[in-house]
Amino acid sequence: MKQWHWISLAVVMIASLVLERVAGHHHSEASFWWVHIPGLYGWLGFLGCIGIIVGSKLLGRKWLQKDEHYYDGE
Amino acid sequence: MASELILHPAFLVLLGAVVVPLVSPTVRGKVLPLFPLAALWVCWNLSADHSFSVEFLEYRLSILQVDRLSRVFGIVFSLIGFAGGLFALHLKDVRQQVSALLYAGSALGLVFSGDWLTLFLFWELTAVSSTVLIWSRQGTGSGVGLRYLLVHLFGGSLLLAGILAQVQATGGIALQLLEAGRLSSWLILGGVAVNAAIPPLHAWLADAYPKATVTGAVFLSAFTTKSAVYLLVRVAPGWEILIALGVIMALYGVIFAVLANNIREILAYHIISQVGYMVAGVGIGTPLALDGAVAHAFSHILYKALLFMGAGMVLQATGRSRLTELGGLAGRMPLTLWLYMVGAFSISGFPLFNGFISKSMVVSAALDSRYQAAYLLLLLASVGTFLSIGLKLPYFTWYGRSRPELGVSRPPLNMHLAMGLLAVLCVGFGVFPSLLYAELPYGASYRPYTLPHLVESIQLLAATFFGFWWFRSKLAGQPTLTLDTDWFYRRPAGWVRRWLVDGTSRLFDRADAGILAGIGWLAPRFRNPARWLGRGAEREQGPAISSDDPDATRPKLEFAVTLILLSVLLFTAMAFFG
Repeated sequence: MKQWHWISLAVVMIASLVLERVAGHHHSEASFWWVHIPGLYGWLGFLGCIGIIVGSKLLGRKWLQKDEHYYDGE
Repeated sequence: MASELILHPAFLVLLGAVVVPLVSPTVRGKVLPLFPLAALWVCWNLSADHSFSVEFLEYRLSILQVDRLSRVFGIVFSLIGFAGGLFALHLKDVRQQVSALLYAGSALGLVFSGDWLTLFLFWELTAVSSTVLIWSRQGTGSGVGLRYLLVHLFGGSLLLAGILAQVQATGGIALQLLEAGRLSSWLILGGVAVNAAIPPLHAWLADAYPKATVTGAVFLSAFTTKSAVYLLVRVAPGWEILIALGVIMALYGVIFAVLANNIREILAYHIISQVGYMVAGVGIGTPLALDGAVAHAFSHILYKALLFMGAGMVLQATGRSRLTELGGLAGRMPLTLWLYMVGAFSISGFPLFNGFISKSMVVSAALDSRYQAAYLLLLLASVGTFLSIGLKLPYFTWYGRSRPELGVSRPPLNMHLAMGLLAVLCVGFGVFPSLLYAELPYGASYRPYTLPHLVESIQLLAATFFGFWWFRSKLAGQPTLTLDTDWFYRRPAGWVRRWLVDGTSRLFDRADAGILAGIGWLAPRFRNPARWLGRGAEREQGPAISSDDPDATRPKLEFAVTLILLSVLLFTAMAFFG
């Protein structure tokens, strides 16, 4: 990742946070309280991403991941 | 009738399966894509109420029943048959060519069936023909092909049982909406759930697809699950249980893709995840949700085939498909990388790509119908999609650790052409969504490119990237195997074999040895029972009688006379007292 990649990503993120205030919501969204959390989709993306990584890896390490030859004795 | 049949898209492709083996091996590959292309032309020109049926026993089989739903599936199935054929143009393996055409033809036959019996016939044909695409790489002796076939035969049996019960209850074989509360409906749904890869009946997909041939996986990614989605849209719209199952599928695939190490396994788990959106859409059941499910099936077939082509190219060029063995290919396979990324942007729902215009229909429909949890969880699943397909897979395959020791062979031009065709379609439908929306069956109106939707999507994706970059070291592939629900038949298979097969074999071996030992003991004693019965011959044995004298082992005459007299006495006594 070069510096200009990070700068453009930051610009996109800030623009989306600003435009979110201007753009409003889908008509069907408006009646739910959580819609009005600032940067809702940003939080969902960021925390969701980390949650998926950590949660899956934990599930894998504690339970699901086995040696590649686990079924070889079939 | 012959002209009706030849203008049936399925029979056109099935005709290809007969013709292709008959032509010269050098042109087989080039002839193959022509049949799906002809079927595409026929599908495009089918009018929405066209039908054709034949009498069979006391039933009328509707082997071609066209409406807007079957037509749009027919179009995309033919299209992907053509693209898959183009991708496999260089292939010389006639077995794969024939089974690919049989598979595509039977999937087309399935979506144009107007009754349960015709549908079931094509349903089973897809299972058998697709198994060959797995056997072609793994060999017929491999466990994976057999597991795949057995699971599908189980699903087919559920479907058949449901169909028979349904026909008995309703008296007709026509496809119609399933009624809640009937056993037949649940049996049919169970059979369809196997092919739609709904957990816990999904494990065959992630087990088999990564092990199929490079070209076979492209066909596999398109037909089986999507023809099941077609059937769900046809017979079970609005079944609320499908919303929960769909959301579970969407997240299940995401979680397992994070743990997967094989690039085609990551893609396979994301078939389950994406089909989850379609299943949830069917469950929501509003026109927008159903059109969304159909549109997403259409988009998914295009970008998923493109992704499997990209992963297949890596496998073909390097001979490897594990993330732990790949890395640093960007400089050596740049075209494949960028064509793959078009598929990755599409599946992740980037604006201007076809996943954006279809996935959002289902997600919006969830919110419109006030399923808040489903809405948020489906969005979370799309975070996971971008994470695995758009970031993890390309990062660790084309970037990440450089591996100069990897040999990279040059792939044939036709493979890049097929990827290019699908990439153009992914972007084309993404930029001009009305091209797809005009063909959808339920007439919902939807505008994907609104400012709120664009802002939300871009924010979601950008934030996902930050999360990935921060935690990327945790996502590196690990040389492990992830347990899935196939554990329940793979692991006990060993035990069952040990107890039933090996145990029975041991029992037979011991019985065999015991019988042989008994025979060994008895044989010398019965060589001449007279030795211990009459003792006569033995007594007479002397140096005067040579061993080949037949009298040597013969009982004495008194012995025979005594026996006869005793018998006479016995029978006389019986006659007298009986």
